[in-house]
Amino acid sequence: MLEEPYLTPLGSMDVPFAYVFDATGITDAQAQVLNNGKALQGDSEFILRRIVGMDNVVDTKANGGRFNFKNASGSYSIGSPAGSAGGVYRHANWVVIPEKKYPKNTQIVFDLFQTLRAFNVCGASPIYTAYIAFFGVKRFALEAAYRTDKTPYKYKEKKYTYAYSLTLNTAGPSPPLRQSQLIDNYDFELQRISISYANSPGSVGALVTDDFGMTLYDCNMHQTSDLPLNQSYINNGRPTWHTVGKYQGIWPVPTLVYPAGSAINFDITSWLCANQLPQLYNIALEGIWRVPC
Amino acid sequence: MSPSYLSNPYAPPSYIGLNNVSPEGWVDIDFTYPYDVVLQANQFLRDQSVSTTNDADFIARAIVIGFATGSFNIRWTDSQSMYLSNGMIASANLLGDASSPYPIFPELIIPAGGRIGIDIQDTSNGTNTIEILWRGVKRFRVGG
Repeated sequence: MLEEPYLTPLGSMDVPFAYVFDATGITDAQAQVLNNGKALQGDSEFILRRIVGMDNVVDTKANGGRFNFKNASGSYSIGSPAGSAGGVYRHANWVVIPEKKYPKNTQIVFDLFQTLRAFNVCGASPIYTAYIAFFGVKRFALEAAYRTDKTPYKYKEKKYTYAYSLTLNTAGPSPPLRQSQLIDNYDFELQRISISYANSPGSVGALVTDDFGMTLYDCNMHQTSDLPLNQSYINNGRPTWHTVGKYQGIWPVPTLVYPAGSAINFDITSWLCANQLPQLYNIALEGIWRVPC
Repeated sequence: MSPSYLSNPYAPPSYIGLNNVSPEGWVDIDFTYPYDVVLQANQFLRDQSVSTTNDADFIARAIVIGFATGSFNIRWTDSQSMYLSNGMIASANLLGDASSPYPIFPELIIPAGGRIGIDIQDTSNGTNTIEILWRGVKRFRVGG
């Protein structure tokens, strides 16, 4: 069986993007909430490749948490078995194969059954982390795309990781807290983001809770998601060395290039309670240096 | 066509994108047929079926155990009632979950208005709520 590299349609360019549906405002314990819509931004068509986080929005499978979603045409993408409420039991990471195209100015419509929002316990005022992320790419015409891929010098590739130290000292839900990692020396291709606690007193080990949301920017300061992404949706770190995270997060896909002298900018939105502060994290921004040769 | 820029070596192919392999004159659209059942302890149901809709052929490419509260055995057939195994298969031998489905390779064509036949047996000795998903594509003819 041969595999060939993915080909985009002639004259087009893909930019990694995730549309995020904010379900923090829905009401829990509803038997069904039909025809929710996530409208596209209108600047491009969207190619959907996976849906992440249904388990943060509906109840457990045993309690009947289910979902379904629609094609751009309005037809359902999943059949509804006889006798069921509709759709299928929830999944943390639902892969869409083959990918689905949603044209400009359309929306991704989906149904939820037995709603139940995930939250961080903060006394009487929980902080909800109930977001659904639709991962894929925005597809632009080449002349309309804003992506930076080219390096203006001849180079060889060398693996490199920027280790970023993050200290969260703000209780959630907070406004976005801008973070910035300078790209020194050479152009850098970002392939992977891995986040853990910083192995300092009180902040040790893998990070599996949604302590914060993250919004990553490309080198031209375009967001790669329209709302913050739960850190667990993009965190490629493992809960243990032997197990893979349930969302199998990897971001950005395709990768992004940051020219030397630019910065990897990202916003952090705290979802921590005041009594959890401060927390220290280690963020590995892993990829490839483009070293002149 | 032009190559996708900067494929990510850490990402599985489904995240990066898979090329359109629809036959010329046809278009494949992702679709999933679910089968839900509640089995009583040790119950054995024979000749169950999932009917495919009349609008398009279904190309089955993977199985997902969407949910099961206990172990079970299963055997299934194509639309001509031809078994795809010579005996029951234990659920533990079907490895698929939603993010890494159990592949059906080569793919299996179920005609429009056809059926997937199922024999299924509880082996948990208790009430067993099960959902099995057949994942694949509906194959539509391109208009015009």
